[in-house]
Amino acid sequence: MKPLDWLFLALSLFLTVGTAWVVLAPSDAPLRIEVQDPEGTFLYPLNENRIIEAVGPLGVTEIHVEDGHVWVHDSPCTNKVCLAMGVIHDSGQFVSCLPNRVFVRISGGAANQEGPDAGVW
Amino acid sequence: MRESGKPVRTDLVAFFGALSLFFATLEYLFPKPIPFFRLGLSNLPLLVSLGFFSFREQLLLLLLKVVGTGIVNGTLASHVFLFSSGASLASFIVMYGLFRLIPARYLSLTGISLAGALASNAVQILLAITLVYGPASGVVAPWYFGLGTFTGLAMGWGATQFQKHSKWLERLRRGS
Repeated sequence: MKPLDWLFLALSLFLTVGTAWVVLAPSDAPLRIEVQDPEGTFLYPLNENRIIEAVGPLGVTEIHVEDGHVWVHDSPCTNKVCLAMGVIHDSGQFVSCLPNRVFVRISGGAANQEGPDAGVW
Repeated sequence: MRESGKPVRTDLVAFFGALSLFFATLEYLFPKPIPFFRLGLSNLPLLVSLGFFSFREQLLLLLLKVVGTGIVNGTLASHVFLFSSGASLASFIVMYGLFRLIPARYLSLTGISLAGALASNAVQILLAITLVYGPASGVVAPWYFGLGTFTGLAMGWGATQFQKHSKWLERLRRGS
């Protein structure tokens, strides 16, 4: 590694940590689901079971919400990366379907509220 | 096509373009941790050829890579192609510029690869926020930059090793 290699490595790490700091910052707002499709952004509470249909250029992406867990159940895209992303349940997590232009994320609340407040050894 | 009286080596550029397509297809073997993220394997031929292709040859190789992968992946007529071409162009400009402007004693292919990954990911995030999804998609940024750091290092290391040890590349360099 040469001097400027270290500079670009440091810059990459700085951007990783910096953007994580901004994106995962805790919020006072209640936990909610943000569904973004070409029509706009739609907000849903995380604690109510429902099936959300987001309409994109390829068709309908079906999103399931059950017991605080969210996942893409079906999508008309070819590669199905959104289905493979699995279940999200915590603030800051997301699932998206690029070909159908649908983006789902959980926002609000402090990230990972179920975790311990402190640890001692 | 000529540059400073030197003919463009279309057969060699086509060969490197084919390598790019091969690597782009290989990427399908690896699971994608986040949507539209790429390992950047198809950038290896671009990185390795920085030393002996002219600007026009590099640009032609980039065009082959972008359009070729668009055809192979079936995304040529979709907005996904916008991501791919925007990211590839940004990455190429940064990598080529750094290679030409910074002496090799200060910057190796690893740093160039890291900078290329950084430019590519930054452009994809900006395109996602401004044109495709909106501000909420900024949540992918830490994943992109984090994974991009890892893949940028890996690709840079791979390209460096190939440049050091490949006799085939050495013969090409001497012939150019």
